[in-house]
Amino acid sequence: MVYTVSYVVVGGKKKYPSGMMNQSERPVVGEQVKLGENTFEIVEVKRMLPPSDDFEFLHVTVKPVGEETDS
Amino acid sequence: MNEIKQILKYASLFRGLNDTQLGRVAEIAQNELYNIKDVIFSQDTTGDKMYIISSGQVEVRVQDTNGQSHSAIFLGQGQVFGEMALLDQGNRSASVIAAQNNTVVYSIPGAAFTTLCQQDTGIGYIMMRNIALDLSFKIRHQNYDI
Repeated sequence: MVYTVSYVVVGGKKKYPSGMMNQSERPVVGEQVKLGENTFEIVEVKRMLPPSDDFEFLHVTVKPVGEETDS
Repeated sequence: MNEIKQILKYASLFRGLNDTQLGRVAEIAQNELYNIKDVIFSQDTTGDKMYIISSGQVEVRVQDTNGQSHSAIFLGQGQVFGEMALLDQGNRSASVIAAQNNTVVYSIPGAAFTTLCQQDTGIGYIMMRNIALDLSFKIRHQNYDI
């Protein structure tokens, strides 16, 4: 299975760009992901679309690592 | 050839293509290597290629009407960019810059892609369906990012 993942950043002191990538491992809450030069922690994973042709489409919410956030 | 086919299999844009069809797409793809801050293409320029990210990340930057450039999104392995200009013949809607050293992308020239889709309508149908699905996924992503 290939996971096509949409990453959206919540919280943080500024607006961070989001991210999209394909990966062979399903993202897991608590893991860290790097978008550009910034590192984020995964706080939520949910299915965006039904799987098709060995692809699963996920929406992942992340928060900046090392910053206090409201969420 | 096998390496590019593996990359294409990893990109949702090419899902549903069989091994032979992937081989035909691979024949028209060329790899390009970029280092951090290298500009792959600039906003408002004409575009004649679409790109698949093999490794590394790219940054998509959009310049607003005040001339301010904003980072919109980072794209990683398996993602496709530059397909809009290929479809609608419009100028590039954003600039794309390598965000990591040794970022490898495969480019597919628009003219060769169109010819391939016309010669093999099976490939053409699947690719057009997948491009529509890919754009749908990106719109859904944008909706979450508002």
